[in-house]
Amino acid sequence: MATEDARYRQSSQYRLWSFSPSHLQSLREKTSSLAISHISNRLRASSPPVDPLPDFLTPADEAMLLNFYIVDLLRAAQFCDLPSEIQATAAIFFRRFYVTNSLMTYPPRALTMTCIFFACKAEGLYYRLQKFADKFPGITSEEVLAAEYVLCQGLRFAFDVRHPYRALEGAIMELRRLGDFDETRLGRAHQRTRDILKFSPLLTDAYFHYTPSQVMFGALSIADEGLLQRLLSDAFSGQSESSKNQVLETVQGCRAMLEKELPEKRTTYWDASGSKETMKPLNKKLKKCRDPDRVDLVALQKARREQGLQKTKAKVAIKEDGDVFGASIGTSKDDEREAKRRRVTGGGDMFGPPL
Amino acid sequence: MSRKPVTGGSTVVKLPTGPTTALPSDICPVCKRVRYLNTDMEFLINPECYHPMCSNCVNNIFKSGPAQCPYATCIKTLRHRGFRSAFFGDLAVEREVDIRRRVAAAYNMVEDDFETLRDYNNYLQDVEDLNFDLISGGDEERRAAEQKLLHREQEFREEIERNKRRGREAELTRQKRDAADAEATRQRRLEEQREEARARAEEGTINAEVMEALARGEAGSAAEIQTRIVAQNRARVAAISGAHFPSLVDTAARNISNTLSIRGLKTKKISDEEEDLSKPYDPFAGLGPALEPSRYKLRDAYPNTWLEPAKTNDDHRVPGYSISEYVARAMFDAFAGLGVNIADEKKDVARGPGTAMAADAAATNRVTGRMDVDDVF
Repeated sequence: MATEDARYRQSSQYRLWSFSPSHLQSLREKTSSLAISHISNRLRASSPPVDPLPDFLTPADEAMLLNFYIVDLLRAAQFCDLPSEIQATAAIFFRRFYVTNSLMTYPPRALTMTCIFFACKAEGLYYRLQKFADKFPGITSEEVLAAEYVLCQGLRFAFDVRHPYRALEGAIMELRRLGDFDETRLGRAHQRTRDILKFSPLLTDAYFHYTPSQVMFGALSIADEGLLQRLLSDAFSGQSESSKNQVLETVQGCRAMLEKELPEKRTTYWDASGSKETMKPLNKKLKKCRDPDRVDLVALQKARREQGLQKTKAKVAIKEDGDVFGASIGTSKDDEREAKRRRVTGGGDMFGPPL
Repeated sequence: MSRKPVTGGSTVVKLPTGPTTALPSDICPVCKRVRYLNTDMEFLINPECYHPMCSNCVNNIFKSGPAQCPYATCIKTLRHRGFRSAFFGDLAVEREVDIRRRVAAAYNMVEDDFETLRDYNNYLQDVEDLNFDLISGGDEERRAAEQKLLHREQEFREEIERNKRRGREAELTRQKRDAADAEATRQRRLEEQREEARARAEEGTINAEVMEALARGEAGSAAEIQTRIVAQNRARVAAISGAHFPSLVDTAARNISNTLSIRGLKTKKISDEEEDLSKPYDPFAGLGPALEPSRYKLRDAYPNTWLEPAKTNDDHRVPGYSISEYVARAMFDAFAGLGVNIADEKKDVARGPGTAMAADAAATNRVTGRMDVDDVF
């Protein structure tokens, strides 16, 4: 067992955010069905009941919309002059969030801003909130912050995203050290791989199904297959042929996935009018079937905060009464603790209930 | 008058038999004179028989030539020359020391003469046995030991002489070394004193200058004048206090070779516990091999034009940017998790807690009521 693999298995990316393809698919389907049942219940219960329920988004629709919004997010991040690692972190946050949440539940437009802003925080880059909000017309700082906690919950508080960028630098350094290839070939491969890594893995599920080094090698094999072979033969020099072939197979799978979204497609996505045209019907559809409770995240956040304040105020009052003579310390505290305990044992999942 | 010898001629005496072996303090056992009347009375012994008597008796009896010991039953013939005052109050100790001195003179080998430490220890044991026999053995043992000692003294005279000479030489060199050490220490102390005196004198001149300046009524407050003059002379003061520093360091270095030359210290055996402590501190507590890369070998340097500026650029250098750290991370990233097959390894976690809960919630339709999703706990 390679020590590097053992160390990678400790990461939250492996423990919480790596899925087999079937698992990821079932997760998305479940999220979608849950959201649909929730929203339809809600619509039916509203005061003038929405009688013919709107057409809900299918998981395939959601996947298309998701990519559309991720491109949107990348463009916004580039507009802010963020480093590519932070752009990628933001995109991956967005992607992870919408694994367990549906686009219909939380409005994606607000979440893109929150993801970018929060990725800056997670990667240790200070961006002033006001400055950030001012960059985008029609966005207020409250809107940026409103979904932040929900986002954290959706990410299961795992803020560490392992990217393949540094891995690529390492691989190129190793290749250059070997000295078997001339500089122009290496430089070209380096450039091309970096281009691919900045785009393709973010628009596919590569981060969920492959480790960063596999993603990097997949991209490298698109750019220059010979370099990949050289590196792998070096890395697995002392090991059996089968283990190397297994890795090669995984890398090829990753390559196939990345090839679906090569950076050449970026222009088609980038071309706002074209992509907006194709997305228009979907966006319209989304607008109809949104969760009415969560359209305005700012108001929701405010309501929750007020609710929380009232709750704590009530608690304080009880405490004061009880604590005057220190006689009945037990009762109120016990109630509190009991409630907490009930919630904890009932919750089961440490990261909160399904959304 | 003369008594017959009871035992054969012995070179090592038995102690006088009596109630005590202590030197008398007041009354001479021979002439019964009392110290009260003779304040300068002194008791002498002869290492032939260790019978104490006052100096008056010694003069009276032995002045005219050798005579028998005045003690009853003692048959030793003593000479005036052999008398001396006892060093120890207890004559048994006096005798033991004499015997030991004689034995040590005969058996004067040192450790270097032996092949192994064990041989030397055996030799020491034998010598000590001989000592014991002579000092407190029975008649038979004492006689045998005496024979041995005499034999040694006669047969090995040359060797003994040689050893003695050698010992003297070693003693001489040791004394010389000690003297040199003492001299060096004295010199160092003197130099320190001289430097101190010079520094003090310099300080005095500076203070005088300050006073003069104050008396002249220069511009500025007294404190200002003082700081100015001190600053002017600071270089001089620093030169003085620094000047004797190298010489100090020099002599210290020279002395170390002399004073710290304690020879013969055996290398100590270190117990397991101490051995653990003596190892360098390992932050990974022995986990080191588990962190060693297996797919690549981390080199000291990789050709990378991007990293070149970081080596010389102050923006990177001064805050402590470590290129090797970056290289280690990059290489680790490049090969970490290469053998992880997520599709296989995550197959059996398809029903993780999150999904199970979601399924439950969907079944019971409980989600609609849960507004406070923020409340994790």
